[in-house]
Amino acid sequence: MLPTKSKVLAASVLSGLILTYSASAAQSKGARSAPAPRPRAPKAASGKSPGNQALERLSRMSPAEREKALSNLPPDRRAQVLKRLESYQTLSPEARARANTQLQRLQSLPPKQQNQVRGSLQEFQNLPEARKAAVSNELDRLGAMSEAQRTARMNSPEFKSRFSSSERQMIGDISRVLPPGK
Amino acid sequence: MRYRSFQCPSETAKLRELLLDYPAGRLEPAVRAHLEKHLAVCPACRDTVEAQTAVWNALDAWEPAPLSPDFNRRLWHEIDRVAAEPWYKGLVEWRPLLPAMFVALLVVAAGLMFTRSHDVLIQSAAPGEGVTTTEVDQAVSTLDDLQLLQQLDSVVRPESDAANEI
Amino acid sequence: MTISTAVLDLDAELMLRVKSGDGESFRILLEKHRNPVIHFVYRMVQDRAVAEELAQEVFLRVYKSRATYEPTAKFTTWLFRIATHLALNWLRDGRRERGAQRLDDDRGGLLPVREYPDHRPSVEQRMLRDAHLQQVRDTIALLPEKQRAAVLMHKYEEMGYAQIAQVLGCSESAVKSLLFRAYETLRARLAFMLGGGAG
Repeated sequence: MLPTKSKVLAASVLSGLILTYSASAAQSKGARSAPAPRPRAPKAASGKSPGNQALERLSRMSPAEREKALSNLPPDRRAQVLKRLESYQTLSPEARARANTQLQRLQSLPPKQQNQVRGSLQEFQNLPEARKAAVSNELDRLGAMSEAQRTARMNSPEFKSRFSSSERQMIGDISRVLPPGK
Repeated sequence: MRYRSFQCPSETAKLRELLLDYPAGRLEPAVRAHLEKHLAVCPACRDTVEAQTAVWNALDAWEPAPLSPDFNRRLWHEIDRVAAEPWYKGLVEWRPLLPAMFVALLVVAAGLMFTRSHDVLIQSAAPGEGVTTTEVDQAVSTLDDLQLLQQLDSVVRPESDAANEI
Repeated sequence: MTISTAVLDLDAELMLRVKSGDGESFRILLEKHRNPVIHFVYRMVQDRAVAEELAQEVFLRVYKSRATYEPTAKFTTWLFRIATHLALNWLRDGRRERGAQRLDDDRGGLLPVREYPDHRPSVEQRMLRDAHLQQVRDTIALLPEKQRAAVLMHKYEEMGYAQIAQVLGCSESAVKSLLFRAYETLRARLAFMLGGGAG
């Protein structure tokens, strides 16, 4: 254990630190209570969903600001989010535009349908390779079709014979986020 | 609490908690009956109660992780260690520090009161500069969506490629 | 005598026995309150290992305070005040950084969760359920700490407003306000997965 003199010294240092902390807390309070006015993103500006706008905003932040904004997330989740953000930022302009279009289509669906699409995308990820290839080809094909052509295709006997009912549901859901071909 | 003339909970701050207590099943039968009558004619309260019930049920889904089997053993080990020490030992050890600690405590309490009272005011404010937690949440959900959609990039060719093939 | 008063008397009585040197009473208190404390702290910090460390500290502090214990409040109020204090300190100190590597096994350790009604196949249900659970965890984690603590005590510990107020050291009306804001946020953020009825 510490000798008494050391303890008194430690107490002095502790008090000093606490006073410094209190002063900085008060200072930061003052700073926080008068935040610099910052323009808020307008709703659905330039056709982007609020989620997309929020993402762009997060993307424009400095690393320190971003860390702070995500500070409430559990550490592994925060790391995952930062990694995903980095991938998003490194997309080519074309790939980013495609992703944004799909995102816009997904997020403009009613909430229940959004969930169905998300579930189907997860399900698609986990398909066995052979079935994944078949579903991929079909999605590629549907991606080039107009809405009317897609409906006709998905009602065709050939489509029904090639895919199970859950796969048909999956393809139908995922095709909602694919912009119609011309 | 008396509800002789039942006011709309969504418009009356004092009664707002009824909308939280109803899905939790914590209302007395008489109050519950009053509220149910009100819900039948008030779409705003009905929407809140429905949404609150959905949230309540969603939170039920979160089960905590199971306890480590050696939790009790570790705790008792620590307690045995503490119990082996005379109870006054800690006080005597730190006696010279008590006045300084008392002063420090006062300063900390004042600091905490100062900062906490401000925290209450900024509950919904952003963890980061100029961005709200809702926006952070939206951005995180959007990244989740993008992650899911990313797989389509290798599946669905850009329109120009498809057109060239045709 | 109400049930809560009876509970107050029993727990406080046990603690008074601990004060007079009865180790067995502490064992009873520990068995009774261990899981609620760990679950509360776990949901606050979202890290199993840290939750257990903090819960150990909670009970250790209870034990260390036995000599000076006075039943001025309900035992669980005192207990959760310690637990909340430790959890908030841990969150505010940024010590969760240390637990980053430990979170991986956390997800796998979760017990089965309630299923949402869905007509889709079970594989999808499971994935959706996991995604929903993740969303719930994230949404709770994004709440300001005091709101988070209030919601967890209100929802999972079934505490009343007065008791939460005592734990958090604020007024009952402040707790109601905290809870209303927190649930409002939860309704808005979880709306998409709750079928759009919320918000």
